[in-house]
Amino acid sequence: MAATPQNLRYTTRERYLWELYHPDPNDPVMVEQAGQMRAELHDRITTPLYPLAFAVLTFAYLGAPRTTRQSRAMSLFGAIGAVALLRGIGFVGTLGGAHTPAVLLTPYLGLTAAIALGLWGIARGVIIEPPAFIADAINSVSERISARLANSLGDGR
Amino acid sequence: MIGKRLGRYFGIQFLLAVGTVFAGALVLIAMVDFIEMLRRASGVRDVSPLFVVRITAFRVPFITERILPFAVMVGAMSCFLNLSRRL
Repeated sequence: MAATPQNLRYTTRERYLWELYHPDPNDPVMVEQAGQMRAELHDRITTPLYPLAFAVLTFAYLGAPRTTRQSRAMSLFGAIGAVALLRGIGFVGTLGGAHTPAVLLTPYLGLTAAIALGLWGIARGVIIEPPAFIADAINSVSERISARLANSLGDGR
Repeated sequence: MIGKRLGRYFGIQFLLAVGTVFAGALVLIAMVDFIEMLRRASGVRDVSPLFVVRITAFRVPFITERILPFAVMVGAMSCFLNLSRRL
């Protein structure tokens, strides 16, 4: 059956921002899903800040000058990891915030920390790299994999 | 401090890279969404492809909101990697 205006119910994602900010107390969806409405409102406020945070983080990791002989792989993976962590914090905050309002603070804190630390690193010209033992471990694994690949390709010929 | 012209050059490179990634991802996602909408609408009578295009167009702003952060990330990565190789 096609939805008529009488039985049409908009979900939280289909609501206007002002409807989320000033929920109608007579709206059954608003009453049933008050927590989700609150989480959705905060998600919409934080979503435009993510591109800014991602740009700052990426610049902090990859913006430092390097010679052509220096590898950028570690910085690349570091940037991807930092961005994934920040977005993960955002998802956890939105999902958890529907039940516990205090959890809604985590995306704001994560974004503020990411932007502040990123800007600090950029201003100081800090080259962000993983600790030596992690870099060595990753290098040894990649060398082993490339050696095996070279061997298997050699056997194939 | 970097000069005005160099700053503008970096800014344009960054915006071009982000814009390219964003436009590419948007076109790809809109096409996939259009095909999915066509599949769903195939069982419904009197639905023209133009109507499906309109529905897809209405859904695009929602999709853009989701992909913009990741387009910025991928675009920024490619831009900074290219710039650090050239300089």
